[in-house]
Amino acid sequence: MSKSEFTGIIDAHAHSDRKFSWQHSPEQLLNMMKECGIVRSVLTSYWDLPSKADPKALQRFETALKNHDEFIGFLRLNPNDPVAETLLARMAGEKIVSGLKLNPMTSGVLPTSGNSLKLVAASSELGLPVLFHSGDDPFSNPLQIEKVAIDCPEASIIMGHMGGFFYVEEAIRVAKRNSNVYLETSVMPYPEMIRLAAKSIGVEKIFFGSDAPGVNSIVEIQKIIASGLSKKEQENILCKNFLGLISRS
Amino acid sequence: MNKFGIARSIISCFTPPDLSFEKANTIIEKITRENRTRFFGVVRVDPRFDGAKRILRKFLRKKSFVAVSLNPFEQAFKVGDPLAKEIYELAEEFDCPVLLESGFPIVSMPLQVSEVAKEFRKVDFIMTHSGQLMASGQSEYDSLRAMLENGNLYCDTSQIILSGLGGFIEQVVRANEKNSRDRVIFGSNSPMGDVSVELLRVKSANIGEIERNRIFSENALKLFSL
Repeated sequence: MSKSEFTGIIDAHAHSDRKFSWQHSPEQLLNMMKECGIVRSVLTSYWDLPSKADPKALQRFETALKNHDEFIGFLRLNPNDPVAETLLARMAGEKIVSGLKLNPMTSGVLPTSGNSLKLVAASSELGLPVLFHSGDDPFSNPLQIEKVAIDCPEASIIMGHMGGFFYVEEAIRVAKRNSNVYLETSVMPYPEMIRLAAKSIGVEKIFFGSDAPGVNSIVEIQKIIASGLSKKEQENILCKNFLGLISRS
Repeated sequence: MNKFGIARSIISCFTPPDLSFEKANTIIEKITRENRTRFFGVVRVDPRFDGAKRILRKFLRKKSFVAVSLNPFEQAFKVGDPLAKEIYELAEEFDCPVLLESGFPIVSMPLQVSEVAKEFRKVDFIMTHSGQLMASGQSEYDSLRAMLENGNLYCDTSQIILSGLGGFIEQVVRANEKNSRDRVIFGSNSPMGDVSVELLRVKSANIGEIERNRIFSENALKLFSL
């Protein structure tokens, strides 16, 4: 794996977990980070936690966070799980996690459902930003997630994958209309759209993310480099913007 | 191409503003004639329009065209549509691969492409983007199944997101079902795709150098008879 020209990169979206063919240990993620100049990564699971299908998943997640300062925990929850809010409060109170991750498609919960909004509001009260899976999949359209941002104006909403393949323009428009919406770059395949997003909403609202290690971090970094933004702007996206949000939260 | 060390490109037209694929393919023909060693043409047609087969026959007779291209998303038909099947029959007649813009909901998802590959066993199909245009990566399973079940199905690497650890490219190469490692070809989807990013997807995939060279070069050379 080749090294990128940047050091001190912060990755706003990465995973370690075991689910089907995605078997990714913390060590594998750390290796990929090291090879790419990524010093810290958001860590989230592939399962909504706690998981009935994989009862050890929550323990694995907590252990990974406790053992590795490089990880910034974002707790992935199903809003319909009765223990969701309690678990979030506990892990935030113990400073194990710094954010909430929601994947409406895999949870099968509309982002605008009562339970989802309640959880986002709770997260906001705890000072935790919310990373939403956004894009091409059911329940994940940026225009659907926008309603969450409107109904929870105090919440910081990060649109993971910035709309995916087909809804990037929508994601940019939502971020433009709502000061509490940010865009995270993983997976969205068009570097030019990162530049257009920066032009539309300001570079400070864009965070580098990789979705590693299933996705190659070095490819995702290259997207920022190929975007046509200035070196300073690239550095802000790669190294600074996300930490700025976390420290404000 | 020169900047990134790409020796040859397979090129096709966009949907032309006047919808005349005959004119658009003529331009492609001109470009390939002027750059014989660098560009090779793909005949693109809209199967819904009269004259699609005539256009196909006209251009496939020329040496500078090496494949047929269909875009079910832009031209609003499913890959299994009877009109599309008439094109596949013609491709079989000319012993010519068919490039299918894949991964688009409703019209060209991986298992839909797989169905077509099963029905037309004598035609080589290329599933662009490896059929995976979903941010979740959920269509990876279907794409993998399609690739491992069909020895006449190829995939190009453009915009594949799961090229990391245990990713799609690695799985297809390692499984090597029905010689699947010989059926992955490099694609950039340029100019929509950024070439530097797309090259890195393959360069950084967790596969050996021999397999990497196959993806970058040998597999396409054989497929398109270059």
